[in-house]
Amino acid sequence: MELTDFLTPGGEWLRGDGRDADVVMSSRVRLARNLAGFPFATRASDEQRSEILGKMRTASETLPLGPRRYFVDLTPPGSRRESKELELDRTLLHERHLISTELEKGKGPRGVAFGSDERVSVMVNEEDHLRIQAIRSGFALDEALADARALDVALEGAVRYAVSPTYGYLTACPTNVGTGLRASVMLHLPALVHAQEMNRVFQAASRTGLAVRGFYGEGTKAMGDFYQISNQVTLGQSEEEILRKLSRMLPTFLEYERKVREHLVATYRVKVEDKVFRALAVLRAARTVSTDEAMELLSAVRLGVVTGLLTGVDLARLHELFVLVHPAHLRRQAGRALDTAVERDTARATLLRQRLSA
Amino acid sequence: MGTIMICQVCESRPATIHITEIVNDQKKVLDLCEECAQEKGLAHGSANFPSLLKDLVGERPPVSAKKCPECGITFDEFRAKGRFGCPKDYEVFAEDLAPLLEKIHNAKQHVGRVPAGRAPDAGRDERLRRLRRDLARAVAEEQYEEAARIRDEIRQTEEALRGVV
Ligand SMILES: [Zn+2]
Ligand SMILES: [Zn+2]
Repeated sequence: MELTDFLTPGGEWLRGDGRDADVVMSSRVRLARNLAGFPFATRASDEQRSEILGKMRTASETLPLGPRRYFVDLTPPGSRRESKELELDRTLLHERHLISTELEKGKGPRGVAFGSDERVSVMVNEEDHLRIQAIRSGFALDEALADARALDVALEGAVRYAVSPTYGYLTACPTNVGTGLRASVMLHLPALVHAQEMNRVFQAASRTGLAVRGFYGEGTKAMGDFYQISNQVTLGQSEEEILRKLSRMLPTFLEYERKVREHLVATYRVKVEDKVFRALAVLRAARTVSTDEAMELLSAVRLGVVTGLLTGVDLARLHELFVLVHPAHLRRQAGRALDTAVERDTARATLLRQRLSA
Repeated sequence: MGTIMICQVCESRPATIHITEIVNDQKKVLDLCEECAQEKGLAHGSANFPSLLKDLVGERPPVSAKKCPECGITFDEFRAKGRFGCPKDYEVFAEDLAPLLEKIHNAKQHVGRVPAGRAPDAGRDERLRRLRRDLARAVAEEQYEEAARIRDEIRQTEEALRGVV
């Protein structure tokens, strides 16, 4: 399938609105589900995985995925040329947060169904047969759960889930068993990072049974001062309870970041302004920019926008850049391989100059 | 905007991966850089489970030599990979699993939602998995007539199940 429509991120979660959007970039809910009549995905044969993929392709035609439905088969085909193309598609979907690292890098028959507004997606043959995911802009866990649940209920009618009265939804890994629910909020914490206060965030999170992850989730590094905070317990608490606990803890992190922002602006206004405007100037003028540098500079600009130090930069357009600066998007935009780091860094700088020109 | 924490293993690169492990009932946070995390096999996979698991059950020999009659996985294999092979494993290894779930979730009973109005039919789910295993074997042995027969049977069993839903 051609993913040419995906040059510009249309993800609703990048809009920069919703509750607490000054700190909360997005809220995500994912449900892990497995089909009862199959071994788990890691132990299923390619034929069985294909059968599951086929069932999901059919089911996806009636799922509440959004205005326009997509089903992308990510199964590696025979020819090498095709598979390079597919590799790019997989990375592209991963950069857009539509699929996980595991689905991008995994093996064998697999795929993803999603809607054109990129609010929900269903990954097929990830660690579990199905990973239902819903993302919303700002702090909106309840809404994300409602979206994910609508898909879950629709899927219930199409396939039989592996469920036990004792353990709930059975998952390949017991860390997900029960509700199969992982709820997370992506926080932008530039002030806490700058003030070297992140250690306390990690401590507070771990004390309360929450996990902290990077921009691209599990096992990824923090980029652009974005951190995802999520629940760890999935058994013995209802979905609502899990969301409630996370929501109850959240204001602590938000207030903490806001306080430090206020303090920085009040005490070191010129220094913070200098950092913000310098970042914008570099983004508007540089000839080569690495991914890490781009994310760091964009983070500083975002801090400027949400603190009101900087006007005239649209938050939604800025958010798009947090996705567009990654390699697969640059390649797709350029229409060529961009094999060397210099080529990519140059293409990235050009994109940033164009998009942020005054 | 500046680095944050330093990796606890190499003490040189910035720590970007943060793992909560439970050692002897005590929570311990590990801050690692990507390289060191990868070396520990933690960079990908589910909640860094194998390492977590090792700390939970220790290096001692398996609690039981049980083997899942459906997918053939042993508890040792599960410990090494951190993933089960099939839904049946939760039943087969229930005893070994209980203390583990207690430590991960501090719970042993699901209380969240379950599929609406579904009649539990574990017997038929098991039967479907058995049929699919037989199918895979038939295909591997190039017994195509047998394979076709099993495919029919799978279809019939699935249709019958749909009637139950
Ligand atoms: Zn290290
Ligand atoms: Zn099994």
